[in-house]
Amino acid sequence: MLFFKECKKVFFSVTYFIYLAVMILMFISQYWFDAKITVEKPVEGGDFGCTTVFDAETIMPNATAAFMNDFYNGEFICYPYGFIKKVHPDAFENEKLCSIISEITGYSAAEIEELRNSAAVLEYYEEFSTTPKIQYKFPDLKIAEGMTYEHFCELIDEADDILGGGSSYNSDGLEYYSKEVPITYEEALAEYNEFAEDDKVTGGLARLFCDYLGIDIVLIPVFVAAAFTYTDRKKKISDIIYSRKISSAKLVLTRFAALVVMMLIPVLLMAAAAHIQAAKLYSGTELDNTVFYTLTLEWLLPNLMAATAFGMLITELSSPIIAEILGIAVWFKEVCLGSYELVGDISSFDLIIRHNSEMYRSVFMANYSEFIFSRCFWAGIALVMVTGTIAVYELKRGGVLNEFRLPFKNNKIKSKA
Amino acid sequence: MNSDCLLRITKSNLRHNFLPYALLSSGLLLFVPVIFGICELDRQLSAQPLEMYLSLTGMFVLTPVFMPEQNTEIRDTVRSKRMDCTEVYLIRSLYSLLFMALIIGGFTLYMHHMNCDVDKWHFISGYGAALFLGSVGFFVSGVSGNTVAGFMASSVVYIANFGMGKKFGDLCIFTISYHTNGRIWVLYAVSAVLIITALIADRYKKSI
Repeated sequence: MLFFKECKKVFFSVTYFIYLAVMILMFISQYWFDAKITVEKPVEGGDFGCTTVFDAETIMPNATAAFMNDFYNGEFICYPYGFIKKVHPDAFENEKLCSIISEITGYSAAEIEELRNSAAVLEYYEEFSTTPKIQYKFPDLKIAEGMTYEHFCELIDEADDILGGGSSYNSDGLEYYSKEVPITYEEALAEYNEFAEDDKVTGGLARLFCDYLGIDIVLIPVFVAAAFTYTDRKKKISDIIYSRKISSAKLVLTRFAALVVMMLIPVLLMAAAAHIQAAKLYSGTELDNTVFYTLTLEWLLPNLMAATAFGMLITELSSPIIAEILGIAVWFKEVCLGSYELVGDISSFDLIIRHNSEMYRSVFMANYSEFIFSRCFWAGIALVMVTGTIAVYELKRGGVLNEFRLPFKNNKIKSKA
Repeated sequence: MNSDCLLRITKSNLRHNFLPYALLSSGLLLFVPVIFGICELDRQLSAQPLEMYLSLTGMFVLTPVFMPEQNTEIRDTVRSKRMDCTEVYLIRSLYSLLFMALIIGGFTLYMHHMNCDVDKWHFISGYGAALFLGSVGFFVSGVSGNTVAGFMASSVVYIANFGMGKKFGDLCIFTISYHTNGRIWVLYAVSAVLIITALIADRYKKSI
């Protein structure tokens, strides 16, 4: 049967071997050791760490002080595309920033300049740096009377726009300047109960498992699919296969299914290993014995399908190298330019879903509809790409289309002809 | 082999096999200052564009050195010629290494011009990272006869360094960015071993 023949071909490919090595390495080095540290029931009187609470009265002066410090230093650290950019505002921009500070604090431009001289100054060195930095401190910084938090957000967003975006001064990132309070015993217990009772332990661990493996499963299958799709061309047997009776749809779908199944099996085996580990570590606790497998299918399968279909489509259209480079670019964009939050920031079109903790079930469930939407969306995109691959394959088979090549290569061939 | 023959081989390879990857690397070179602010960076931050982004140049230009001959028809034709195939690989490797030096060296000078805190170690480290990534791809491509696998192995090393860089010890390619105190010469030595091994393995391989 063709499906099993294709599975065998996948299994004996070099790229599949590398895929196995990477996934196992990721599983052991990241998940296995994290999951080994068991979550214990909190004991009254213990230290449970801190959490931030939203408090506009704390956020506004803290954010303004940090903003003024950067303003006086003439340097703002921004991440407009996810990468660091030191922004040095020019005179015109400084004037606009100064007027924003003036509106927030109620000080005139001259008073703001005076405040620089009267502020407490701390000289310090950043780690590994030999250049001293200056930090201005404003212990009694006041916010203008009647300043509402909403208006403050508008002003701070305006400043972010002047800086080119990506600064820490925007309404979405202001919680960073919020107040920290200790977590109480009751809160810690409630969190533990969510883990032990609602998630039945394995629910939380399954999320952590999918979080780690989801990082690689978006990229590595692109290589396997690209190399596999390229095999016919590399072995110069494309024309022989084109002349066979089998339909393009059946051939492409069988290959897609073989790739997805072969790459899913080791992930499910790792889920089984994680399940056994959890059963040993939490013996005596009621566990959900299906969640590792259902969540793997729900969370990772759409990613695997999308990456495989992408690798197949781009390779059929052009070359495996282009598929790989585009795959790396997409992965880079998702990992480096995506969400900074590792927990609780899931949006409807996220390819890589992050929830880097076995805890915080309620935070995950609050975004559950977005999670489901994104999984359906990417599974749908994968099917669209597979349909596209069938169409491209059919066109190539009919001699209507050849893979795209860089023009200078074709020019040479034409000139020879 | 006379110099005329050498020149013709180099020109032909540059035009047909090297140009797409050189363009890709040049695109990366132009892209880095757009996304990464290259102005008055301190020593550690200055290493990031070189070690983390321009190091990909090594992967782009060194990994596909064996690619043309991985087409069995081309390989058979090349093997029927008097000139040794390994010599052609050496020529391709040498101009690729030179191109990497130009890209990374040029960008280091540009960073210096932009008042970044860079010195010769930034170049050495950035070039070492590119060389190591490239040699991993070169090795896997040469030994397996599969350039796609070479790119895959090189990408995996790159990604793994992002997540677990310091755990790689001397083989961490982000030496200055992660402040690993790694011995950079180890990167160079391992790269040299990988390149030489791949060339020897290819020479004694009867078929792909």
